[in-house]
Amino acid sequence: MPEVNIVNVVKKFGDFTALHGVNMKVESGEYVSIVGPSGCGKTTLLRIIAGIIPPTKGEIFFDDRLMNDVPVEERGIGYVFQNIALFPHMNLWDNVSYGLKVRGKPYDETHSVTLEMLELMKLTERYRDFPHELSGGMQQKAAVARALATGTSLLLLDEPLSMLDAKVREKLRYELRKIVKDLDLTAIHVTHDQEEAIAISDRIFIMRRGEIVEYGNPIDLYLSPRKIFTSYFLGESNVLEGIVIDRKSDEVEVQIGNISLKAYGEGFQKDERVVVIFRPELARLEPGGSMRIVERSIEKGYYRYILKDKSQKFIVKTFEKFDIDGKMNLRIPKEYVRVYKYPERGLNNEIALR
Amino acid sequence: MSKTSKISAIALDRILGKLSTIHSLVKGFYLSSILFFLAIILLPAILGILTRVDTLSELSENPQLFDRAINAIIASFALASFVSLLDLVTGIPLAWLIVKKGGRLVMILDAIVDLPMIIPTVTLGFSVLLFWSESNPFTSLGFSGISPGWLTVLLLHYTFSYPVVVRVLVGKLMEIDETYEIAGRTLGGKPLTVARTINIPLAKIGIITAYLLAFARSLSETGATMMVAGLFENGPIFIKRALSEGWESPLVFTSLTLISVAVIIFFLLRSLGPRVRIPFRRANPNFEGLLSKDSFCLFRDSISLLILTIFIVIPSIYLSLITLPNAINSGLILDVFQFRGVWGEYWNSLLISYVIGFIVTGINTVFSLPMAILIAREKFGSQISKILDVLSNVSIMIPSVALGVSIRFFWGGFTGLPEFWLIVMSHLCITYPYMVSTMVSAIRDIPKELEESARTLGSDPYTSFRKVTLPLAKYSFLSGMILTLARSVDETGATLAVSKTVKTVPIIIVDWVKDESLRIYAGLGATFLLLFSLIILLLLRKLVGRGKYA
Amino acid sequence: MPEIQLRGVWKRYENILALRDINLKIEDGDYVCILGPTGSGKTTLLKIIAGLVHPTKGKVYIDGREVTGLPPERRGAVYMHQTYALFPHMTVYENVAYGLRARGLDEETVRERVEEVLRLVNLDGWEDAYPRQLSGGMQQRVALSRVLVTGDKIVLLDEPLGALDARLRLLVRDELKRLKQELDLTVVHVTHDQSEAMAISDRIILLREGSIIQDASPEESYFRPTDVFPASFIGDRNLLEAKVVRVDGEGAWVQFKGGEEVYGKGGPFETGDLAVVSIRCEEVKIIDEKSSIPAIIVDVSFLGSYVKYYLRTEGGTLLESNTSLQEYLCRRYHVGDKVYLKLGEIQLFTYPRRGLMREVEAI
Repeated sequence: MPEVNIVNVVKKFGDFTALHGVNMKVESGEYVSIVGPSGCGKTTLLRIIAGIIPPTKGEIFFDDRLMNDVPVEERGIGYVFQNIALFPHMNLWDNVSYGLKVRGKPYDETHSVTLEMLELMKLTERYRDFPHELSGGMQQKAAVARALATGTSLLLLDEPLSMLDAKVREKLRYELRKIVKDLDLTAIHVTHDQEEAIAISDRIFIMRRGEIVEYGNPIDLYLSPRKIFTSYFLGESNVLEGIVIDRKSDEVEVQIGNISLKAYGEGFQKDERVVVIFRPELARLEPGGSMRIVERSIEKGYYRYILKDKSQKFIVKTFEKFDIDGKMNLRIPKEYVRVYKYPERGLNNEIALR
Repeated sequence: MSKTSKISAIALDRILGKLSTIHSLVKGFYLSSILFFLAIILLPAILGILTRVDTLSELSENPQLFDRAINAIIASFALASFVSLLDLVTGIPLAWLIVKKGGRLVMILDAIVDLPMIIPTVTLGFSVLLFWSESNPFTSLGFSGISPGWLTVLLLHYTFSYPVVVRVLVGKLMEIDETYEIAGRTLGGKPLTVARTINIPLAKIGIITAYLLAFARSLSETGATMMVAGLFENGPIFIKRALSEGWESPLVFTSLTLISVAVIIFFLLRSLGPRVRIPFRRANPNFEGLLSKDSFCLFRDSISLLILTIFIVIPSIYLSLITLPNAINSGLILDVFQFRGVWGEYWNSLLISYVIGFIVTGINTVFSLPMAILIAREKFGSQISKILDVLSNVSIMIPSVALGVSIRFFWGGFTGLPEFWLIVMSHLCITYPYMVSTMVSAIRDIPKELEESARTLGSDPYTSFRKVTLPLAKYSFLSGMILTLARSVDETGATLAVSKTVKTVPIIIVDWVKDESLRIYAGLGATFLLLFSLIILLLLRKLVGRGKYA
Repeated sequence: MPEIQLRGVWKRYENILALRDINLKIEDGDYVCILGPTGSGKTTLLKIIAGLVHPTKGKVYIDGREVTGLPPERRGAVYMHQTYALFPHMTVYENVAYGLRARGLDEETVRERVEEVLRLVNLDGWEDAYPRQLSGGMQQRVALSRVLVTGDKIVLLDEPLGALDARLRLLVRDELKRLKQELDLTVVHVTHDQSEAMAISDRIILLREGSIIQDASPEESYFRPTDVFPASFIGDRNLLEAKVVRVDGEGAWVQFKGGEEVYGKGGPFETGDLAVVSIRCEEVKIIDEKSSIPAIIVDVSFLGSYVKYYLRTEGGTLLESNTSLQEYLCRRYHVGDKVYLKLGEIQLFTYPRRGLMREVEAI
């Protein structure tokens, strides 16, 4: 429920700057995720919000209340850890009720709230089991129950699903979102898995090298991001270099290797070097052309093709089945192609993960 | 390295490598170490005393001695349990401080805590005796010194067992993943609440181990105890008396009882201890929050440091502080270096002590390595590994003087071994557990995957061990060896039990302390022992540290 | 070129049965994924092939000869652990050179081969660095180089991508496949991630609780699973309980609890049997014209390249429908919309003995 405001947070570890002045606002009841490659500072940011480590500079507000000097145990947050961190020497019941006991809650209240949480996460029968007797997915559900039992309205999740099997991750992430929405909590979820972020968030913040690169809702960020890195990082994209060969009022035509693509765009000059980006699943393939299929695999109901044309590599996802080594032509409606100015420090630098 | 030695080293490597691929040879290698353990370490320690069980019947003929024996035994166990408990209660806050605070000051603190462990116990004993009986912070307040008796023994045992406990606790507390503690805090727990409901329970095994080690140490210690005991009599003192007076059946009785009860306590605590769980009902957040405040923590830490200084640090270095300046001034120090008078005997026994020490360290290193690999890598399955792990630690619980008695009966009866070698045998038994357990944890710390990868990349078991495991375990192995050497040089009880004529240096010092006329030399002798040990220690560290792994 | 075969392999640890009657054959040049949930025995299986674990029963053959009793260093197969197991006290160069030196090659050849492979994975220049100085992705490449440089044709990888960031995983997948082609290898790759297995392998061996449940190409595994568990584990499917009302030659008509009747291939069944209906989520299509299955949209999930609709039919049956991004951009539905469904290809399976929820390992 609370609104979280992060103002100009800087974090230094000795000479190393982990966060370079981060600004972020999370609305009450929002499910927000912070995504980025390893080392981008997302976990550091979350720990600062939680009060586990102090910022070097900057402020954290929960609902307009300054939290900087409030110790972690008094912030009223729920925190879910990457390595689950259920207390190994306590069974499920004792783990989930821990937050209530440390606050000195009376026995009746502790008992009923713990029971309620176990039922919410469908773990009631296992209350006597110890963490090592449960599967990874159940352990993490128990950890969520433990965090929620305290009655918190702000849930902070640090890569909660990365230690779990892929299938378990898919099942659990939907449940997580549902619980947060049902209980009207504010959630900040850190992850390196962009697919996970797209699936569960109301809004995504993309981080790299200690800074926020871009933020917005999943669909906008997926289809029409402002930054090249966002396209590259969220899901798979074709990120290609080309030269502008023609320019009309609000359209450009770009030559990439042997093919040319049309897109909407303004402010580009003829012969200008640009970056062209499109999503593999929005393109179509037709037989006959200069591209050769070198790889084919199945992904989420699509056939995923890797095509090579001279030295250019293209990725296309479509439902039709074509043979490997087939010669194809690529077609994509111009509203799905985005053109960007060529980055000053080079394309490789722009899409680098670290 | 010269060319020929390099070539022969490579050739040796290749031969050993080939040999390590022969399954039966490897199995034999491990079996021989188990055999060594059984025949040289475990059985002599336990069986020896059993061969004289028949003498127990004579005990009824002398009820006074029997009573005295019982009293001595009870005194030993009472002392050990109390001192160990005191260690835990005062040691946990200091261990916590070391683990949590960090920083350079704390590193110095960390080293200071080890002081009593570096100082040979005879030196420590005499230093403690002098400090408490002659002058201490309290005499300035008009309080008279404490005369030798049960209180000085208690203070002595506290001084030398305290570092052991803090060492183990610091190790175990550092191993606990800090995420658990953070989780507890995010759930609303005050620092004190989290410490007592999460960190301490998770360190339970460490706490039990620390308690048992302190207990064993107190039970076992002989030389220094003799120095400070006055008329007080615990098990080892009584046994020593019985040895010199020739009271065989009380001797056997006391030794046997000490061994059996100690071993039973060991097994009980190790198996039942971990099952004890103190349930957490409710915290009192306001009260515990107060106790977590910085001001209270400062108060608590100051008390810990005060205890450390008054009861551990100063008593340890007191002797050297007063003896050396005196000796230098009075010119006594020249006698030492010129082997004059008693000093001839002193240097002789110092030599003997170190020769024995090196022999014991050498033999133990060679034979405990295969045993350690066997246990750590579960070469014969996890059940056998667990059994061997426990068995190899049993002799820690056996009071060294009782162990010495048992060894004397075992080997003395068989082969009529000369005293020098009896001393070596008894020291082997006593130091074996230290060597094995250090090596086992060192190997366990190295992930098995490293050796497995080396094997799949094409190297035989020997080469994989030499190139991958050994370099990574090197420093831990060295620590084990230094520990063994120090323990052997230090060892008094067992040496007293097996030898009448051959005197190691701790025995000389104890003799000097007991004899009023020679007491003046005791201080100097003890100080020199300390200096000598420090020099050897530093030399050894430098030696292996410099050698680059080729 | 080598070929791996396991015949009647069992592995028991004290009272746990890790592997149960494993029979498999891996051909020259195959890229095989051993797929399964945590605890299914896949790492044990890989270690048995490597020689790091000895089977309780059964035989292992490499290249036609029996290797069951042979130690790992003599099998001609290299193994990469999921933690990489880089030797921390050796530099990158020394790590990669280890295997070659163990084989007694002279320093000249070693240097040549090490530099070649480091160039191949883009790590030239890092020879003198220590593992702790490298990022996770770089460490993975060193571990890979270390196994590839030996020249052994059989490469065993235990969750090689597991420790990498999700985005990096996608990039390295393609790399792995390329390396396999270039160096002409036979790869056995263990993973719990079915999309990884589908993207990279020629064949997927699905393992569960120590037994092989399915052994097929990615396409077959995806379109024609042999039972409920494989159907739930590979691909994205609706799996629902239904009762058989009418039997047909190739399949049967079944009825959901909510009353809807559908036809699926499978069997043989008898009227009244309980069955499991398996429909791939992309086979549940939302159409505008009236059909026999009216439903209401209860939730929408945007998943990047596709969109998932959660639907409840009038009868109360819950279904998930996957729509391609293209279709979604043409026609978006919202929560609360009333729509009609058309179901495509349906498979029927026998109802599992331990119940549907336990069989698909619902958490």
